Amino acid sequence: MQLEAGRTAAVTRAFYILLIAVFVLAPLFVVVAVSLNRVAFTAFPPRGLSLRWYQAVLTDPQWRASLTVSLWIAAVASLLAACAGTLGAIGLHRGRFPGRDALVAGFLSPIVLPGLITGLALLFFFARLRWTGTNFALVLGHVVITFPYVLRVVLGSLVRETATLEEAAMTLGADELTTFRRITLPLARPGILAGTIFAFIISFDNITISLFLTAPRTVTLPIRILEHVQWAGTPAVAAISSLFVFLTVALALVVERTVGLHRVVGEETVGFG
Amino acid sequence: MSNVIPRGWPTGRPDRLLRLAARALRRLANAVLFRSRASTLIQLSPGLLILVALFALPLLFLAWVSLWRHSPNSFGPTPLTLENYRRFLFDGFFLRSILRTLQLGIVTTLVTLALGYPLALIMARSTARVRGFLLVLVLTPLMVSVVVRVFGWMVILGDTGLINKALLALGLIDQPLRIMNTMAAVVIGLAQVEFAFMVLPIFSALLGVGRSLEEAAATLGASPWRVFRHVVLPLSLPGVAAGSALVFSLSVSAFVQPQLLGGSSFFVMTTLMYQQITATLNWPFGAAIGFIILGTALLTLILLGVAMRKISPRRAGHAT
Repeated sequence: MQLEAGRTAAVTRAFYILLIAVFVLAPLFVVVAVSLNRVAFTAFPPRGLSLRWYQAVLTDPQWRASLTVSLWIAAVASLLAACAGTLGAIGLHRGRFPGRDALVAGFLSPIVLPGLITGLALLFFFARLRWTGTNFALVLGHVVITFPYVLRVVLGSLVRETATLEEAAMTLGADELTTFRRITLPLARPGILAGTIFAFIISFDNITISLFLTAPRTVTLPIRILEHVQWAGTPAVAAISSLFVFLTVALALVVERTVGLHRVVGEETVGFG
Repeated sequence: MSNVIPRGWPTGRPDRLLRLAARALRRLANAVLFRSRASTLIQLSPGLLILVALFALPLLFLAWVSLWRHSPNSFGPTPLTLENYRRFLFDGFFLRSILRTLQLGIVTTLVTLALGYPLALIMARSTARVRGFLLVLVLTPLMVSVVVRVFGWMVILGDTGLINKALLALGLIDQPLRIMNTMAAVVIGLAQVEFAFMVLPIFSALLGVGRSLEEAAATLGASPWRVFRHVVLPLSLPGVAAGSALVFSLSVSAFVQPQLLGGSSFFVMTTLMYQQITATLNWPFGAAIGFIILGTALLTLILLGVAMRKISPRRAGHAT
């Protein structure tokens, strides 16, 4: 009797998890399936398998231009974010001054604020400065939203043990620069690496900032996909979307291997204080 | 070696000179970057520059613009007015969009809660392996671009989409259900990814509970339902509050899902704002809508933060 009840519970549980898995993964699965179509419309299940749409988008100058622009913007923005974020984290790690916690909260606030509002504010601001439509403005916008992630991850990797080891090194006669190079930097390196890659992903994926700041000539990849999907999704759009997702997931796996994704996504985002 | 050194350079011991220079540089770096009081400021300055010049200042500017009067030909300061806010908060059409936004937020929160709570419970009680698998499952949509996810939903939910084809083939319906371009489609699109933000806080609240309290209650003769009702549920409420606040504020400030899954007549605050900025070109009005969205999202977070403090695990623990 009890065994029977236990089995029912287990079956219900398995069924429920399956349902969740379908709900969460179905859209992704469908897009990848559609991209493999031989026909020119979004048939699902695909009619005949082929990679022709991948070839089509990778030889299409428009898609290539968007992919290139997105990669460049993400690379430059994440590097700038990495520098500012790492330096800031070191300053916060070493400095003991009044208002330090408030400053940390301030640094992380671009994560909390809806991206659409940040994008709008930057649009008006850059319009006033007559910078709109330049890739420079777009990069700056991406730096604003990516640098808090780097700062948080690096700050998280500079834990209390770091301070202890630094003190030990200084006691043994190392000067500050040596301590920094031999102790602080190696300990922070996984954090810096993961933060930078995550910043790259955030920038590469970004819609809300690019929506307002992207130039007509240089449309980023997510915005270009958005424009196409809004009209009509085609297997070609599905193909570039799939490539886009593979690239992001591959980078996310690197982050997961280095420091663990949960530490980058962060307690503030998922834990609310 | 000596022919490399330029004329006029003190010859003799170039390596020693270089070493002296290196040492001086090192002293300077030590003093400026680490030893002086200003060093912290130097380290923080790039971040501060970004925070102030590219975040705080634009937001202040946005607030200012929201008080401008709209002029079709120029984008510049005018006498300040609250007209933009009044127009949005008191006009019937705009008011309906506010109500629809709030409705979207509430429905999405309830859907993710109903779907997510059991999963959080299962995660908290399973082995590390199963837990890891479920965690990856929950986090996967976060790694997929929102446009790609929405594209997938359009293929699934459309009139000739997967669901309608399946239901027609099974003979359950005679004509396609209209799912696309309704609130339901938007809720589905939002719930799929915001699910993660509901599950994770509940999961971590439940982890904090520990099994010992439940076992104690069961030993004292409580039925499984009573254990859940009087022990597990109250202790998980902070997680529920946190998750709800996050999902609600993300839902009311979402743009891509309502824009693409809601159809051309589905107006929420964000899509109206976008329309004002890109089509109507009434920037001051768009700025005002932006601030109303921000206010709605922040107010929810603050309110639920307060509510959470009231039902914190410590006090719930004392109550039981």
